[in-house]
Amino acid sequence: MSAAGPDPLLELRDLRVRFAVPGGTLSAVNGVDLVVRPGEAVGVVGESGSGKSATCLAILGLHPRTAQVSGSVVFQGRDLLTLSDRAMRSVRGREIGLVYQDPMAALNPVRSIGAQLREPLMLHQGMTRRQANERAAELLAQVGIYNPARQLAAHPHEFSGGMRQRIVIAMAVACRPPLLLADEPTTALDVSVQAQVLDLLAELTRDLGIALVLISHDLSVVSSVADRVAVMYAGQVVERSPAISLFEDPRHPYTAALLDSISEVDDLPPDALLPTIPGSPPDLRALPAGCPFAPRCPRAQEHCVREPPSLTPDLSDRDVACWHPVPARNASPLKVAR
Amino acid sequence: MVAVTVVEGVAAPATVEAPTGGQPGRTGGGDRFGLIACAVGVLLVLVLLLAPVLAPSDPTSIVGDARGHPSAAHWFGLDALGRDVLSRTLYGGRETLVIALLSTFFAALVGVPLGMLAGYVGRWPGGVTMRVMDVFLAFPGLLLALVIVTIRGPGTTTVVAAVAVSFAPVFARVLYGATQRVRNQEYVAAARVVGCGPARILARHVFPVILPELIVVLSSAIGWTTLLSATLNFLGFGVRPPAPEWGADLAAGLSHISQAWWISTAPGVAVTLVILLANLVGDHLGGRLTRGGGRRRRPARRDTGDAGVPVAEAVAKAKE
Amino acid sequence: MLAYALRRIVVSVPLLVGVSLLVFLILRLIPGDPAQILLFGANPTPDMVAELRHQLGLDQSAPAQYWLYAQRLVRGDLGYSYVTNSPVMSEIAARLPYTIELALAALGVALVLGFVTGILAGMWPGSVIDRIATVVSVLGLAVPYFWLAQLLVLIFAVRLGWLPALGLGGPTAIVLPALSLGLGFAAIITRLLRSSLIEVYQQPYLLVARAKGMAPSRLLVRHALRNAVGSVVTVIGLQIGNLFAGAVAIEIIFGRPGLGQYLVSSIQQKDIPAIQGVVLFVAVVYIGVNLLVDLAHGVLDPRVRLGWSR
Repeated sequence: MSAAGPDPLLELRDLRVRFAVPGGTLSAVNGVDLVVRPGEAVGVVGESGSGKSATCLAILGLHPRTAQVSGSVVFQGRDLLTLSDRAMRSVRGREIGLVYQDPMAALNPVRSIGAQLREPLMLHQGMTRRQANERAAELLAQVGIYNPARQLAAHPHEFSGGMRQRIVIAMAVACRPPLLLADEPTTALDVSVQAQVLDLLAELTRDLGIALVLISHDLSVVSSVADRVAVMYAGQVVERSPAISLFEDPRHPYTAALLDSISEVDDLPPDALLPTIPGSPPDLRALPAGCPFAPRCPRAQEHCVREPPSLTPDLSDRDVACWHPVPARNASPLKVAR
Repeated sequence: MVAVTVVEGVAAPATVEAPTGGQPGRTGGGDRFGLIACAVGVLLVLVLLLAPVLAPSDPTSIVGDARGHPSAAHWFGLDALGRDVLSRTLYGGRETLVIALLSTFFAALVGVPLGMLAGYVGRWPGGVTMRVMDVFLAFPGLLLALVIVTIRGPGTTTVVAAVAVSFAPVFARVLYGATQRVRNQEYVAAARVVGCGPARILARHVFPVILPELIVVLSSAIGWTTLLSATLNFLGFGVRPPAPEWGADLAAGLSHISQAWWISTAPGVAVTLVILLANLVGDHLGGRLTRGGGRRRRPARRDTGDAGVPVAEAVAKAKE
Repeated sequence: MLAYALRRIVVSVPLLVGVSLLVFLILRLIPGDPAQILLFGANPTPDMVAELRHQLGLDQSAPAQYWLYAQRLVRGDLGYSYVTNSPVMSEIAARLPYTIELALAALGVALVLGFVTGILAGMWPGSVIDRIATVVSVLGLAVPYFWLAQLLVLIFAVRLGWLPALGLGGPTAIVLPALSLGLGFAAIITRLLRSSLIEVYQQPYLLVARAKGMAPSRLLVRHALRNAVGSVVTVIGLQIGNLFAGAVAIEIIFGRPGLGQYLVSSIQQKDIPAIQGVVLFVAVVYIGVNLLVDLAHGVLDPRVRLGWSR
């Protein structure tokens, strides 16, 4: 870890998540190392199946019992993987909040939003129903819901997707947790409200001093909010970098390919085929021995297939897991969206 | 009336899912059960067909002591008059099964076209038809059957009619819902645009699509009609003594339950077995046909479920 | 909610009219002249028959007869029994308590057993408890209740001598009839609750609720059960009518003088007003119960109130 920064709030070390599936073991997360410091915003980028959400659930201990989770999740000096169920419950919601990807499904359709907002407050802060109601109304106002006191009795189906995601955010920050995990918070939303919700998330966490882990498949979403970014591929972090340098100077061939696909879309004639990364991600039931990206990598050489590259274990801010990284360049003609 | 009501209760028959469906780590169990049930069902029908060959004695002749214990000569014992319980159960099953199959057939013959037409035509004719069906469904099945018994007097044909009348509205309701869903599909609209008449559309475009649902209801219906016809016979509105029938023999065993439990055991097990098989086969077919090619429910995985979406596509979709 | 309630109530009115029409038709469809049946054995003169036909309104047109019948129904008059000559309504009232007692006791058995096993199986699918519950409920769905009754009598009354098999003697007499009628119903509740709980537990909002730090017990009561119970409640309503239907055989087996036994003896004696009365009564109760269930469903799930019309 870089000596300059403050003590980490969250430190993942060699986090692995495996599931027993018909025909073998599915390795969803394969040794993730990641540090989150108090108050900062960290982006985690990768396509679906790269292990982003599985990592997020592992932090909260929400995987089903059948999943094998190993490594360590050190949060404020305690390894969460070793905590009892009861102790873990007092971490969830109080010290780590979760914003789920699909606001249409994240709220219980048969309970009023007031009831759902009161839950973490009464559970963790010992509030009475009355106090919790007042606080819930404040929270709704904070996330920009009009006429909050009256809306407490409303049910989720009475709100639009964007409004629901605001409610979910209010619920997640209700107890002012030091850490907020946002798993694809804008993916399910209309394009027109994505930016609003993202801004709200960034603003709220900054104002309240909450550290944010923003998970997305969308580099542009992450770039607008995160201080630092981790790129995931096949359950591993393949590149770690401050947000700005990542866009200006991607070192991992996968990151570079991701960025290319964005920039090219902008420059393409409207009816052209979208650029894709050739090939497909590896089968998580049978990961290759070497670098998982090697089969699709334009820079791969023979030994890439045999020996896995790894990040240096010191958790420095800029690192890449690649035998033949893209050479550093100083300036980039890239146009990053937004 | 227990199994009957599951279908009266719900519009679609898939509510009670396969016995092992959706359980992690036990995929395929339902299929195995279903296949075994199909095999046992075929075997059972064969045994009942071969009753004259297999039965040790005539079902109505007295072959031993009254209430004789099960023995090597009479495996399932002797009834209150000294008739062989095994023989009566074998012959009685023919009666029960014929009633069940016939009444299912007639119920479907009336209910299926009615439901499909009502569902396809829709608007007020369909609505009115279904309100009339609702009136029939407002009576618990057994009560409706008893109304028919009142009108026609007891007897086997009455039982067939009574059971058929009770279940025709059930078929109509299920087919109505299924047809309505299909009617709004684009390929049906396309067929209409091309100029197909309603009869052709129903036969060629609607029926094949809802056939799986119909088959599931049909197979489960065998169980319900068996129970209902056995109930009517149990109440004394079916066959005349001394003819053997499962429900009637169960009623005959009732007064001797304290001295000769075996009189009602064989017909009781037989009714249970038929309903069990019908339910299992229905669930099995439901799982195979409605989910397509025997594929089980998708595994409950979250993150890794949809691996392989091209990155650029996802990126472009989320971009402004 | 009020609008939803009114809509549901208005929908039941044509249903009630249809049910009364169908029950009225029983009389018209029975072969033979009711007056002849009524005077059977009395060696009636044609004048006596004509007089009785006039009294019964049989000399009027069918619509006029239905109109008379409907008017009497609205006043709560179900006619007079051919056998006892007393009002069918009072005959029903005298027998109703036994049937209600049986139906409620069976419902109690079904709810308690169905919910306990359904919740246990639904919370831990694939566990030992779940496997046992699945096997037992699959069997429970298949065993005909009139044989189950005999088995229970054999075991608990004849062999063990714990419970009475017949009659109305004391509170223990209801146990075996209630079990016979309620166990199959419990099996249905178990299966339904299990599968809907499994489905609800896979919903994202349960994950989100867990992420708030909720304990499993609270999660079950506050979030999962309330969502899962909706479909179960509807089926419970539909099953109530079948408790009345099942009571027919159970009352005969256990010698309980309830509505079911009355119906069967009325059919045997061709007591048409009594048959009409009981059938209509049960159908109306059934419609009423399902109306209540629909309203309860509306209270439980706000989406239901908005209607399926959307």
